[in-house]
Amino acid sequence: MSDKLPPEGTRADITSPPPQSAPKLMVRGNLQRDLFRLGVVPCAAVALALTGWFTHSRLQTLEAAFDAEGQAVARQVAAMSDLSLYAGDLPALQNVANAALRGGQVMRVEISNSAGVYVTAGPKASSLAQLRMFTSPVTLREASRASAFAPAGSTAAGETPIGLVQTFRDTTAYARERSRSLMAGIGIALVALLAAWASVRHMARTVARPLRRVSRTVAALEAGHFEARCDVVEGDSHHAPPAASRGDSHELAVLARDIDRLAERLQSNRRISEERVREATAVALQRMAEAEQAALSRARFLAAASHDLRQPLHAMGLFIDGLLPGASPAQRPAVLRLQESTEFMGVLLDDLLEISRLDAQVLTPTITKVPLAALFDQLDAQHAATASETRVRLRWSDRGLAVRSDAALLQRIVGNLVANALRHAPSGGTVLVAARRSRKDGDNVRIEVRDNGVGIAPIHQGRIFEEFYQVANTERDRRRGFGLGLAICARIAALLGTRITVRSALQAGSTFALTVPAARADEATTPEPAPVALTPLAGLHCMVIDDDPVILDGSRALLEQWGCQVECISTGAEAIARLGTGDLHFDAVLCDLQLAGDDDGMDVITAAKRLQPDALAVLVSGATGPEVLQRLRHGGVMLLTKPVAPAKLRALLTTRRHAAAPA
Amino acid sequence: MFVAVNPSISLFRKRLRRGARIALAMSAALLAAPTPAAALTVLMGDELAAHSEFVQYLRAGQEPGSRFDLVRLSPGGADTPQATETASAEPERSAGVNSGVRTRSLRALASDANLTMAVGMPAARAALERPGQQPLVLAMLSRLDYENLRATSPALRRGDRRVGVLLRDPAMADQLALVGAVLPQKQRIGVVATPESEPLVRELQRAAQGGSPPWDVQVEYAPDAKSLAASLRAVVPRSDALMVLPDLIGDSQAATLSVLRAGAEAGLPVFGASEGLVRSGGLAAAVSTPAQLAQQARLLGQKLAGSGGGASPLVESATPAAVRVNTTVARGLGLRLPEERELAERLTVTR
Repeated sequence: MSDKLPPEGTRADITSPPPQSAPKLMVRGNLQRDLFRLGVVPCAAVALALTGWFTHSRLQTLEAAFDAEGQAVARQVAAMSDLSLYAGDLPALQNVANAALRGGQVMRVEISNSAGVYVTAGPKASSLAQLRMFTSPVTLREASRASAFAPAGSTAAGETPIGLVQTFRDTTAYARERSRSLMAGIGIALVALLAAWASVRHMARTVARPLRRVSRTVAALEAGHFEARCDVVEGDSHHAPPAASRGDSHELAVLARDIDRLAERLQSNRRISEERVREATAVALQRMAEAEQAALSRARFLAAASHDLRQPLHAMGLFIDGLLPGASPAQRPAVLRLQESTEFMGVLLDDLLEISRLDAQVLTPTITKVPLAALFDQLDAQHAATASETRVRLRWSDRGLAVRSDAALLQRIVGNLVANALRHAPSGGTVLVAARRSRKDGDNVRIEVRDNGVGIAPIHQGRIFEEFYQVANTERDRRRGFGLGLAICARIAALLGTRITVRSALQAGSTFALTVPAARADEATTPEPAPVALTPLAGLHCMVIDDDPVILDGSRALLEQWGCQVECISTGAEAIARLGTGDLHFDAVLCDLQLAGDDDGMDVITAAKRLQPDALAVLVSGATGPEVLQRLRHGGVMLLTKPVAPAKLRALLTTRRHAAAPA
Repeated sequence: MFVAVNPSISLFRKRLRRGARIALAMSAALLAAPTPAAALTVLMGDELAAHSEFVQYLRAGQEPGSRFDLVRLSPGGADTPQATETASAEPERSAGVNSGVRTRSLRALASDANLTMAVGMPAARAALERPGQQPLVLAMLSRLDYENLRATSPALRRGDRRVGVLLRDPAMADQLALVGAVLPQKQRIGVVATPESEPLVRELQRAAQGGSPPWDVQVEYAPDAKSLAASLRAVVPRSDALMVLPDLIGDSQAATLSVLRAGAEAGLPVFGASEGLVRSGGLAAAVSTPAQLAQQARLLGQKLAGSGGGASPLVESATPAAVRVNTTVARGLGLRLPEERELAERLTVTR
């Protein structure tokens, strides 16, 4: 044995094989049927075997007895008739034959020998099939059964048959007895089987019923009904002491008791956990409410701050625009710096308002087929100058793809990402904007914006979508943005049902990507609005409603500078009255949302739409709260947020002029 | 189970007697005719069939006008007779054997009678004890009965009364003559006897010695008639034929069958003195009949009447009337035997 073992060194190297999982155990039917089989099959086998053996034995005994009796009669007749046959004493032989018949065992006796003696007794049977014949030779015998009477040297005459006895037995009774034995055997076997079947069925039920109940209880526990119990007790449990040893108890009762205890424990644990969950939920709800409150407060703060900042900024912008044409050459650089700062502040406020609006979820994207070629052309027109200034190559690859998305929002995202990339690309670097079919799903298009700039350290990659988070602008240079672009992009992407992913490494550039659904080829393209040519605004009749006289003054100065006729009104009621006179026609109505007192700009705009349907009704507001925005959206009101950029206002009025011109 | 009894021997005598009754009765009557008319008193102590038949033949052979008295003794053979029948032979012959029976006292009967005949052992004993000088014939006794009487009854040798004894079995010489006629080449005769058979054995041996050439008699004694096996085993190998003596063995059916079976098994012929033995497996037998015995008894009576008397009784064995042969047995033994009549004639010539 030992020489077959591996040497020590190699033995250590042998790793024991992983334990093989036991093969699946297949069971069929149910326990009651198994128990039934377990009990009945051996009983049936034993009953059948025993009955078969006993019946066979009994039949053999009957056969042997039948034969033995017939043979015995034949032998006895032979014994009785030996001397008479020797002497040819026919009367004596007849007496012997008749005497043999009187016993009733045989129905016919024939005694004969070769000398012509033939003595019969009993009727000649009509059918030999019912008879069985037994023969016995007749030999001369003596009491001591020795051949002593024979002279020495002579053949023993006693051994030589001197005749033959034939007895015939009727097999009818024997066959009947045989059939009866057979039927009795079968009957006994059937009775035994029936008894076994009944008792085993009873036992199997006795065993299977508690098990079934235990199984049901376990199933109920699994379904969460912890109040379920087995309720299986031992028959004499009320007599036995409760602390009876497990060895003496019925195993099924013990199992049921254990499961009941388990159920009790589960129920108790569930109670405790529910209690804890309730407490935790209450705490979570409280915190959520606090968080919601905080978010609401923040939005409200942002809205209020935005409104309160916009108001003076709006006025400032209006005045600066008014001052610039008349500024002396010495003043002009300062006024320009002032205008630049105001624009920065406006941009910042616009971003904040955008974020606020996105958080309020008041924007609904308009999904259309967007050919990426057109989109990229527009973006190229926007950013080509910047790229050229910074000597960055800007490459576009649309591959003829089109997507299903909101064109403006998608343009906003991609444009933001391109601006971002141009900002971080080194001089002489390249920014590539490419679209291609998504490798994972052919129905999507992946738009990537790639630069070969310094890249983003992994530590920053998770935070670049946060508001005001900037990677390399510790000095907070406003010309490098405020750190809100990616935050807004992320929000817009979420609104479009996608997300922006970033892949970057230091000194290896960055790749921002988003996936949008691909458009079907047969989908119609929304025709682009024709570019509106700027037309002079001279003669445009405008009404400006604001409770702030500074705003009113600024607005009047700007509009009159553009050649418009301006009527300024400070209250809503007055404005409505002026609109309803009927003799005055206004081309545009610009109304502040929050007027003095209880006046509401919405009412003025509604009245203007009613009274002057052809007029352009625009609500001007610095409020960016979600409630306000929702309300305006439902009212279908055109909104200009403060501070209103003069260019934007001019563009708006130009469209009015363009629409009114044919008339 | 059943028990089969072989009644051949008991039936044998009865049938034999019936068969030969008529012819023998006629011959007995003819033989008795020249005798002077004498009164015959017959004593019967039992009701055996053979004895009754014998008495009938006696009555049938009685002369017309002669006196025939039948006295029936009590079953125990007491001195005082129970009944006496007295009848005249002639007038009663036509009326039947037992008709016209008169009763009278034994004493009165004895004074008038010429011959008294006692049939059977009880009657013989009673007759011997009875006083009187009339001739007395003791008929139908076996050899052993006679020996018994001789030993126990001194009246048998009274000088004042002539007594004749007629044995019912043929003489041993006749038996040996039959054996000689059937088996001419054989000499050894095997006999199984009991101690009581001693007189018979002596007679047989005497007869054997008288044979020419003398018979070789092989005798084996058995303790009794029920224990024959050892004696048979001893005697059979030394014998050419077996003989059944009219003793306790011959009178016992079982013992006779044992001898017959032994002979059959050993292939030996068995001889005897009864027709039943022949039917049951014996080869041949010289038999006497009641009619023949009745005639012989009457002749013995006449012989007594003519004789001068003496102390010893006159003893005669029965004269064989016929020979019976079992042809089946003979065929089984491979023997070719003469006709029964021819054998009987040979016996007569021999005598």
